[in-house]
Amino acid sequence: MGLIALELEKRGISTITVTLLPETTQALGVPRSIYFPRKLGNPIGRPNRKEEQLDALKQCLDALVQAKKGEMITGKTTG
Amino acid sequence: MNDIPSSSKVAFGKRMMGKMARSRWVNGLMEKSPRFSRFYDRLHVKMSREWSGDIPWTPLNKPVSESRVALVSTGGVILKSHTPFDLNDAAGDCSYRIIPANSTPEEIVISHLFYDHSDAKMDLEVMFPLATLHRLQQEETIGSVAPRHVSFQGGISDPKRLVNETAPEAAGILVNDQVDLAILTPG
Repeated sequence: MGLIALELEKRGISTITVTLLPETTQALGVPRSIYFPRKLGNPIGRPNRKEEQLDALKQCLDALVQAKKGEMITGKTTG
Repeated sequence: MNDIPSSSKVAFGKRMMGKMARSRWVNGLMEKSPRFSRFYDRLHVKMSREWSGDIPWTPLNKPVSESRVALVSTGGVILKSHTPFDLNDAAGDCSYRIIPANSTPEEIVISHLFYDHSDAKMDLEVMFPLATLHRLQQEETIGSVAPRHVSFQGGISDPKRLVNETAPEAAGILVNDQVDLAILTPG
Protein backbone atom coordinates (compact mmCIF):
# COMPACT_ATOMS: atom_id res chain seq x y z
CA MET A 1 0.00 0.00 0.00
CA GLY A 2 2.78 2.39 0.91
CA LEU A 3 4.51 1.75 -2.42
CA ILE A 4 1.33 2.89 -4.18
CA ALA A 5 1.20 6.04 -2.04
CA LEU A 6 4.78 6.87 -3.02
CA GLU A 7 3.93 6.61 -6.72
CA LEU A 8 0.80 8.77 -6.43
CA GLU A 9 2.66 11.41 -4.44
CA LYS A 10 5.44 11.49 -7.09
CA ARG A 11 2.77 12.11 -9.72
CA GLY A 12 1.32 15.14 -7.91
CA ILE A 13 -1.47 13.59 -5.84
CA SER A 14 -1.29 14.26 -2.09
CA THR A 15 -1.84 11.02 -0.20
CA ILE A 16 -2.86 9.80 3.24
CA THR A 17 -2.15 6.14 3.95
CA VAL A 18 -4.46 4.53 6.49
CA THR A 19 -2.56 1.79 8.26
CA LEU A 20 -3.34 -0.97 10.71
CA LEU A 21 0.33 -2.06 10.75
CA PRO A 22 2.18 1.06 11.92
CA GLU A 23 5.66 -0.44 12.16
CA THR A 24 5.46 -1.75 8.61
CA THR A 25 4.32 1.63 7.30
CA GLN A 26 6.99 3.51 9.20
CA ALA A 27 9.72 1.11 8.06
CA LEU A 28 8.85 1.91 4.43
CA GLY A 29 8.24 5.62 4.91
CA VAL A 30 5.22 7.27 3.27
CA PRO A 31 4.34 10.96 2.84
CA ARG A 32 1.50 10.99 5.42
CA SER A 33 -0.10 8.17 7.36
CA ILE A 34 -2.75 7.66 9.98
CA TYR A 35 -2.83 4.64 12.26
CA PHE A 36 -6.16 3.47 13.61
CA PRO A 37 -5.83 0.88 16.38
CA ARG A 38 -8.50 -1.35 14.85
CA LYS A 39 -8.53 -4.97 13.74
CA LEU A 40 -7.48 -6.05 10.25
CA GLY A 41 -10.39 -5.71 7.86
CA ASN A 42 -11.87 -2.71 9.65
CA PRO A 43 -9.63 0.31 9.04
CA ILE A 44 -12.52 2.78 8.83
CA GLY A 45 -14.77 1.54 11.62
CA ARG A 46 -17.41 -0.93 12.65
CA PRO A 47 -20.26 -2.09 10.39
CA ASN A 48 -23.21 0.29 10.01
CA ARG A 49 -21.72 2.91 12.32
CA LYS A 50 -22.12 5.74 9.83
CA GLU A 51 -20.99 8.55 12.12
CA GLU A 52 -17.92 6.57 13.19
CA GLN A 53 -17.01 5.97 9.54
CA LEU A 54 -17.58 9.62 8.66
CA ASP A 55 -15.41 10.70 11.57
CA ALA A 56 -12.62 8.35 10.45
CA LEU A 57 -12.60 9.87 6.95
CA LYS A 58 -12.63 13.38 8.42
CA GLN A 59 -9.61 12.43 10.51
CA CYS A 60 -7.91 11.26 7.29
CA LEU A 61 -8.63 14.62 5.66
CA ASP A 62 -7.34 16.50 8.74
CA ALA A 63 -4.18 14.39 8.61
CA LEU A 64 -3.76 15.28 4.92
CA VAL A 65 -3.77 18.95 5.88
CA GLN A 66 -1.75 18.81 9.09
CA ALA A 67 0.79 16.02 8.78
CA LYS A 68 4.37 16.96 8.04
CA LYS A 69 6.36 14.94 5.52
CA GLY A 70 6.78 11.38 6.75
CA GLU A 71 4.57 11.89 9.81
CA MET A 72 2.26 9.20 11.18
CA ILE A 73 -0.73 10.44 13.12
CA THR A 74 -2.56 8.17 15.56
CA GLY A 75 -6.28 8.32 14.82
CA LYS A 76 -8.96 8.30 17.49
CA THR A 77 -11.43 5.44 17.65
CA THR A 78 -14.65 5.35 19.58
CA GLY A 79 -15.05 1.56 19.49
CA MET B 1 -12.73 -23.67 0.05
CA ASN B 2 -14.80 -22.26 -2.80
CA ASP B 3 -15.48 -18.99 -0.97
CA ILE B 4 -12.25 -17.35 -2.07
CA PRO B 5 -12.82 -15.56 -5.38
CA SER B 6 -9.59 -16.11 -7.28
CA SER B 7 -8.83 -16.31 -10.96
CA SER B 8 -6.86 -19.55 -10.43
CA LYS B 9 -7.15 -22.56 -8.13
CA VAL B 10 -5.56 -21.67 -4.80
CA ALA B 11 -2.97 -24.16 -3.56
CA PHE B 12 -3.63 -26.05 -0.35
CA GLY B 13 -0.93 -24.31 1.70
CA LYS B 14 -2.14 -20.86 0.72
CA ARG B 15 -5.77 -21.83 1.40
CA MET B 16 -4.76 -22.92 4.88
CA MET B 17 -2.83 -19.69 5.51
CA GLY B 18 -5.78 -17.72 4.22
CA LYS B 19 -8.20 -19.63 6.43
CA MET B 20 -6.00 -18.91 9.44
CA ALA B 21 -5.71 -15.24 8.58
CA ARG B 22 -9.50 -15.02 8.32
CA SER B 23 -10.27 -17.22 11.33
CA ARG B 24 -12.12 -15.83 14.31
CA TRP B 25 -9.48 -17.29 16.62
CA VAL B 26 -6.55 -15.51 15.00
CA ASN B 27 -8.45 -12.26 14.60
CA GLY B 28 -9.68 -12.42 18.19
CA LEU B 29 -6.11 -12.95 19.35
CA MET B 30 -4.88 -9.99 17.32
CA GLU B 31 -7.64 -7.82 18.75
CA LYS B 32 -7.04 -8.79 22.35
CA SER B 33 -3.28 -9.11 22.32
CA PRO B 34 -1.27 -6.02 21.36
CA ARG B 35 1.85 -8.20 21.53
CA PHE B 36 0.54 -10.58 18.88
CA SER B 37 -0.53 -7.62 16.71
CA ARG B 38 2.96 -6.14 16.98
CA PHE B 39 4.47 -9.52 16.07
CA TYR B 40 2.28 -9.67 12.96
CA ASP B 41 3.25 -6.09 12.10
CA ARG B 42 6.95 -6.91 12.50
CA LEU B 43 6.69 -9.85 10.10
CA HIS B 44 6.27 -7.28 7.31
CA VAL B 45 8.85 -4.75 8.48
CA LYS B 46 11.84 -6.43 6.78
CA MET B 47 10.26 -6.24 3.32
CA SER B 48 9.26 -2.63 3.90
CA ARG B 49 12.82 -1.67 4.79
CA GLU B 50 14.08 -3.24 1.55
CA TRP B 51 11.87 -0.88 -0.46
CA SER B 52 12.28 2.27 1.62
CA GLY B 53 13.94 5.36 0.14
CA ASP B 54 13.38 9.10 -0.25
CA ILE B 55 9.83 10.14 0.56
CA PRO B 56 8.22 12.23 -2.22
CA TRP B 57 6.06 15.19 -1.22
CA THR B 58 3.17 16.96 -2.94
CA PRO B 59 1.84 19.74 -0.71
CA LEU B 60 -1.87 20.47 -0.90
CA ASN B 61 -2.39 23.28 -3.39
CA LYS B 62 -6.05 23.98 -2.70
CA PRO B 63 -8.45 23.61 0.22
CA VAL B 64 -9.87 20.13 0.85
CA SER B 65 -13.34 21.62 0.23
CA GLU B 66 -12.31 22.27 -3.38
CA SER B 67 -10.38 19.03 -3.89
CA ARG B 68 -11.24 15.92 -5.87
CA VAL B 69 -10.70 12.82 -3.73
CA ALA B 70 -10.12 9.21 -4.75
CA LEU B 71 -9.99 6.00 -2.76
CA VAL B 72 -7.20 3.49 -3.33
CA SER B 73 -7.75 0.14 -1.64
CA THR B 74 -5.44 -2.78 -1.10
CA GLY B 75 -8.29 -4.82 0.32
CA GLY B 76 -8.96 -6.69 -2.90
CA VAL B 77 -12.36 -5.18 -3.76
CA ILE B 78 -13.55 -6.02 -7.28
CA LEU B 79 -16.76 -5.63 -9.24
CA LYS B 80 -18.62 -8.92 -9.75
CA SER B 81 -17.99 -8.43 -13.48
CA HIS B 82 -14.20 -8.24 -12.98
CA THR B 83 -11.71 -11.09 -13.23
CA PRO B 84 -10.78 -11.89 -9.62
CA PHE B 85 -7.23 -11.36 -8.39
CA ASP B 86 -4.98 -14.38 -8.80
CA LEU B 87 -4.66 -15.38 -5.16
CA ASN B 88 -2.42 -18.33 -6.00
CA ASP B 89 0.27 -16.15 -7.56
CA ALA B 90 3.32 -16.79 -5.35
CA ALA B 91 4.70 -13.29 -5.93
CA GLY B 92 1.31 -11.70 -5.37
CA ASP B 93 -1.03 -10.36 -8.06
CA CYS B 94 0.09 -6.78 -8.70
CA SER B 95 -2.82 -5.89 -10.99
CA TYR B 96 -5.54 -3.41 -10.11
CA ARG B 97 -9.24 -2.95 -10.78
CA ILE B 98 -11.14 0.25 -11.41
CA ILE B 99 -14.17 0.81 -9.19
CA PRO B 100 -16.49 3.49 -10.66
CA ALA B 101 -17.75 6.16 -8.28
CA ASN B 102 -21.38 5.07 -8.72
CA SER B 103 -20.71 1.42 -7.76
CA THR B 104 -23.00 -0.06 -5.13
CA PRO B 105 -22.03 -2.60 -2.44
CA GLU B 106 -24.20 -5.19 -4.23
CA GLU B 107 -21.90 -4.95 -7.25
CA ILE B 108 -18.70 -5.52 -5.23
CA VAL B 109 -17.03 -8.62 -3.78
CA ILE B 110 -13.71 -9.13 -2.03
CA SER B 111 -10.90 -11.11 -3.66
CA HIS B 112 -8.22 -11.32 -0.93
CA LEU B 113 -6.90 -14.04 1.38
CA PHE B 114 -5.36 -12.45 4.38
CA TYR B 115 -7.91 -10.62 6.47
CA ASP B 116 -11.30 -11.32 8.04
CA HIS B 117 -13.99 -10.24 5.52
CA SER B 118 -16.99 -10.77 7.78
CA ASP B 119 -17.50 -7.13 8.78
CA ALA B 120 -16.78 -5.93 5.22
CA LYS B 121 -19.49 -8.30 3.93
CA MET B 122 -21.96 -6.70 6.34
CA ASP B 123 -20.86 -3.18 5.45
CA LEU B 124 -18.24 -2.55 2.79
CA GLU B 125 -17.70 0.95 4.17
CA VAL B 126 -15.53 -0.49 6.99
CA MET B 127 -12.71 -0.86 4.45
CA PHE B 128 -13.87 0.81 1.20
CA PRO B 129 -15.76 3.93 2.32
CA LEU B 130 -17.17 5.04 -1.05
CA ALA B 131 -20.64 6.01 0.22
CA THR B 132 -19.03 7.90 3.10
CA LEU B 133 -16.90 9.78 0.58
CA HIS B 134 -20.06 10.76 -1.33
CA ARG B 135 -21.52 11.98 1.96
CA LEU B 136 -18.48 14.20 2.46
CA GLN B 137 -19.14 15.71 -0.97
CA GLN B 138 -22.80 16.31 -0.16
CA GLU B 139 -21.74 18.06 3.04
CA GLU B 140 -19.23 20.08 0.97
CA THR B 141 -16.36 18.88 3.13
CA ILE B 142 -14.63 17.79 -0.08
CA GLY B 143 -14.96 19.30 -3.56
CA SER B 144 -15.82 16.17 -5.50
CA VAL B 145 -15.59 12.39 -5.56
CA ALA B 146 -13.25 11.07 -8.27
CA PRO B 147 -15.07 9.27 -11.09
CA ARG B 148 -12.77 6.23 -10.79
CA HIS B 149 -11.25 4.56 -7.72
CA VAL B 150 -8.56 1.92 -7.66
CA SER B 151 -8.30 -1.44 -5.95
CA PHE B 152 -5.29 -3.69 -5.50
CA GLN B 153 -4.99 -6.82 -3.43
CA GLY B 154 -2.41 -6.40 -0.71
CA GLY B 155 -0.85 -9.86 -0.43
CA ILE B 156 2.16 -8.98 -2.60
CA SER B 157 5.50 -10.50 -1.63
CA ASP B 158 7.40 -9.37 -4.74
CA PRO B 159 6.29 -5.83 -5.61
CA LYS B 160 8.63 -5.21 -8.58
CA ARG B 161 5.78 -5.23 -11.12
CA LEU B 162 3.68 -3.06 -8.80
CA VAL B 163 6.45 -0.46 -8.55
CA ASN B 164 7.45 -0.54 -12.23
CA GLU B 165 4.12 -1.02 -13.99
CA THR B 166 0.81 -1.20 -12.24
CA ALA B 167 1.13 1.53 -9.60
CA PRO B 168 2.35 4.03 -12.25
CA GLU B 169 -0.54 3.03 -14.54
CA ALA B 170 -3.07 3.48 -11.75
CA ALA B 171 -1.48 6.82 -10.84
CA GLY B 172 -1.85 7.90 -14.48
CA ILE B 173 -5.56 7.14 -14.38
CA LEU B 174 -6.07 9.27 -11.29
CA VAL B 175 -3.94 12.08 -12.72
CA ASN B 176 -6.06 11.95 -15.90
CA ASP B 177 -9.17 12.31 -13.74
CA GLN B 178 -7.63 15.41 -12.07
CA VAL B 179 -7.58 13.82 -8.64
CA ASP B 180 -6.03 16.06 -5.98
CA LEU B 181 -6.08 13.81 -2.91
CA ALA B 182 -6.03 10.06 -2.38
CA ILE B 183 -7.05 8.15 0.74
CA LEU B 184 -5.39 4.72 0.76
CA THR B 185 -7.11 2.05 2.83
CA PRO B 186 -5.98 -1.49 3.61
CA GLY B 187 -8.10 -4.54 4.16
